[in-house]
Amino acid sequence: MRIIICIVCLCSSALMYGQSSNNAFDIIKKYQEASSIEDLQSTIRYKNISKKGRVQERSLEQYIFQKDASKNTYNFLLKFVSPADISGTSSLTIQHSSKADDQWLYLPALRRAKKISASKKGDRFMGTEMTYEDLSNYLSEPMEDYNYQLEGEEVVEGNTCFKILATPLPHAKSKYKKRILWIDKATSQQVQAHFFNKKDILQKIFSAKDIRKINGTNIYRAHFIKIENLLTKNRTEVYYEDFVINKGLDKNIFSKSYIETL
Amino acid sequence: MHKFLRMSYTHPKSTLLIFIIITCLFGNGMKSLYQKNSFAGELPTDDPINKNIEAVKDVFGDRSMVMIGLETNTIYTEDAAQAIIQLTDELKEVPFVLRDEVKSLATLENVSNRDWGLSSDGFLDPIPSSTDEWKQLKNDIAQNEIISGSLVSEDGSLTVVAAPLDDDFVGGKVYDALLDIKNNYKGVGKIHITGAPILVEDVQRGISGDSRKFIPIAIVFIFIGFFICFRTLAGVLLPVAMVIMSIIWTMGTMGYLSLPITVVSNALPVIMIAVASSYGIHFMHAFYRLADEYDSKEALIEATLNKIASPIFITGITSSLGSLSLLIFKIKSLQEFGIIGAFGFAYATFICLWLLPSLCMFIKKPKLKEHGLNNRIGLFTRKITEFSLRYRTPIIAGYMFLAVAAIWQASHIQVGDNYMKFFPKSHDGRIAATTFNDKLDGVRVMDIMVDASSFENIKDEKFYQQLLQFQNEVAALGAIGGIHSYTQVVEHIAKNLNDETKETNWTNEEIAQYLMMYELSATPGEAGMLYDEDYKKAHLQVFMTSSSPEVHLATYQKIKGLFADQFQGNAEIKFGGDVMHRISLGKYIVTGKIQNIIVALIILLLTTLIIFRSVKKGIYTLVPILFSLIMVFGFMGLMGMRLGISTSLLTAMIVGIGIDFSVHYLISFYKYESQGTKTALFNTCGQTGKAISYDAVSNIVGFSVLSFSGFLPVQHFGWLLAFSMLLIYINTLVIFPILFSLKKESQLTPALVQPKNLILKN
Repeated sequence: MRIIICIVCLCSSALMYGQSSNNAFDIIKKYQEASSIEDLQSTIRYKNISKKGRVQERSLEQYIFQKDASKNTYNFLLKFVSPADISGTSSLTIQHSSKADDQWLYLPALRRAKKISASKKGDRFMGTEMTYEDLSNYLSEPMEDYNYQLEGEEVVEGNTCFKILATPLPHAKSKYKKRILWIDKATSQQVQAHFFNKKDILQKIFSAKDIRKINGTNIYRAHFIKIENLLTKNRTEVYYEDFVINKGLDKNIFSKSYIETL
Repeated sequence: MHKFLRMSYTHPKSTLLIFIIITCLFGNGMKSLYQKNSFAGELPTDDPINKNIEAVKDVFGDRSMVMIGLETNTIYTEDAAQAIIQLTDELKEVPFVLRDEVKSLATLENVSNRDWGLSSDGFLDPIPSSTDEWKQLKNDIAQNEIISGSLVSEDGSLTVVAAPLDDDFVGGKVYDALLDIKNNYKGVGKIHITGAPILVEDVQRGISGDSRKFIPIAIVFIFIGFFICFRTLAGVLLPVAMVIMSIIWTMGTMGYLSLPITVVSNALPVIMIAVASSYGIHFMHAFYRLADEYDSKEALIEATLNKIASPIFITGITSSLGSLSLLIFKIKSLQEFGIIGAFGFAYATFICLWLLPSLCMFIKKPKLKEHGLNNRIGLFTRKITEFSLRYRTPIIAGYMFLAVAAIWQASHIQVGDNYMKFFPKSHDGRIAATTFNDKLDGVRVMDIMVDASSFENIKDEKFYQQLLQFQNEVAALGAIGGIHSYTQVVEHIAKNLNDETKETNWTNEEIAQYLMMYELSATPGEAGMLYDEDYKKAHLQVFMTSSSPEVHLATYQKIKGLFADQFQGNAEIKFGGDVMHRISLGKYIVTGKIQNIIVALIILLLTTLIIFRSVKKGIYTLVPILFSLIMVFGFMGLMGMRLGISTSLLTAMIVGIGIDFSVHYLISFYKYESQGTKTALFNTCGQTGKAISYDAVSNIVGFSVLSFSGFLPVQHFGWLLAFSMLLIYINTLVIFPILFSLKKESQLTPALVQPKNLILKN
């Protein structure tokens, strides 16, 4: 009798796990759809704040173009606008799925764009606490690289959220052992994420606030995000303004010759 | 006072119980003792150098550096590369390490110009796999001024994994973690660990370790001396109990007062042994000497106290006040030692006068044991007295000559501690520091903060050029291994972006944009180490290959001069870091030492004036002590011993022992003075002279053991303690007879002296 009860319990657990996994997948799918873009432009003001409270502040314009939806690759153009002595400095990244990305840097003082090494997943993005892997995941959740598990519901900053454990699949070569994502039920936006390093230590906390609809669209976007590195105690705060999403960005701006005219 | 003292032997059990309870209470206080190995807070807050050190710290943090060196035939192999990556990961996990500022070939970007553009891959990401790739890496490192000679030796046999520590780091924890890395390392080559926090910990542990090893041996020798003197077990055990109790009370008080154990207070047990054993030997010597004259123990103890209580009390009070004279130093650990030393000497006096009488009640009433050695010592002290009286004039001339020579030698004493020379040559810490000094930039760091406010900011091209010129001039100074600053970063990026074709007169915009390029890959901490967030202040880390305080001081003064010449008052410079700490400490050691000697002598004079109610007698007390002080410092100058923090304590010890010998001698002399000067002198050298002989010989032999330590501070401290003891002893026995013979020539009455009887009687 006991054996039968055990078997029933095991089967039930397996079914529940499957259901939970499916639910998680659906939630992430919805989140991916809600956050995915064809193109995006906005202004950004970001602050890198060190453990000692040293603040480094910059403003820039960002232009993002989804190059290949199926392969989750993008083109990025970032143009610094302040402080004045670095205004015009620009970075262009063309992502490729099958080879290393192409990157150029334009310094007004040089008066030409210089090709630079492609950034790696674990490299810091523009000196912030966000890595290129974090940024890619934030722009579009790479569902083919992760296993998802629904771990219940929690209220974060007043938003009722699904709590989802995302574990990378071996082929993903992620820098993390796992991530825990909190997806807002109402907007399907990510409001919080915990990043655990390979030693399973909580390394970073991502939080998104001021989530509101972009003018003239049904697309929600966080207008403030914060990434805290718990190991180094550094943090980055990013303020977004003037979002323009899916309005048909000119593809030609993502070229070396264009950034040399900036 | 005697009524109160009487209670100790009329109620011996109660007295003993009370002492045991008090000792337990102080023992409990010892639980609160803690070690402080850093020099934080040592300097006065209003000190100009300290103010600058703090100002630099406020902007750039303390950033004490720890370094792991990998030494192998060549670092350009896969095994070495794997080892560097592994050591980098391990260093990131060390407590208090600023993990985002760990510098190594595994963390830094190799910004190098290539045919296709600008490479910014990691040096070891990926690890080269072909001969050409290794050749490329070797070439990149050789061309990179930030790396070559700083992070990788020019011959490619040594590379460093370095990291700054958090401001509130605990040296012991960092040291243990690094030692674990070193001990568990199984890769290619050999590991060295170094950096200022490691050196401090190495010194502290080395000194503590050798002290723990040699001090018990010294104690055993001292008490063997006691046994030779008294020939009874009680004659050894009672003073031992007294000395141990004095140390427990003193250390317990330190615990209750939250005073830390520092490199200075480490010497406390040694000085307590010297002083407390001296009190004990006087008491026990009198106790045994008077034994045959009294029938009951009570009467014997009463007589012993009548004879010895006053000089011990006077000695104790004067030594305590002498110790308090250390408060004149502006160095915190020396001030703390002054306070705790005062407690210690007072406790030793109290325990000697109250505990020893009660303990004597528990032993059998002794019988005077005459033995050959006792007689020989009595004969020796008598011969010294006779010799002094017979050759008075040549001795006076000799003393004058010695005093002048000693003062001249003392003026050559080198000030400050040279850490490198603390270690035996085979010590890992010394080998590591020597290897880093020989092959890389060095291990000692002077921090320089240059304020560019008057130039708008550090990105100003005029400021930049002047700073570059200043740095080049500083780098050309002898003891400078290298300078790390933002100009290195700008120059390296500029050189690689501009294909090495352009002149190095960068515009404001170029400097700003090259710095921004650096910031895009650097962590906030890395950038924060080079300049402040407003770009107003630049941080220059000047690495030095010498650990000589004289070289540090001379370099500091030269750098100040170079800066004034270069910037003509248009920018402000502030110095910080470990090296400046030492320079400032050296300054206070010199001024503090002079003031301390003067104050200690004034205290002695005032105390003896009150006791003897005579200026002349007061001055007499000082003479042997003064000569001993001069001679000890002369000896230090002659032997090349440095006046550092620990050797600064010698005055307290010399005053403590000197006053003990002088007061006992003088009280005895004045007691017999009415019988004529010579009789009084021979009686004194036959009684007190014996006691101080046993005390001196036991301590000289005991502390000489410390000279076997491999650690120079322990070795020198042992030599100096033994030598001081010898000098005080000789000077007391030689100078007083001469002084009194000068004073009362007419009263020299040889007919009254019966030397043989005196020897037998004593």
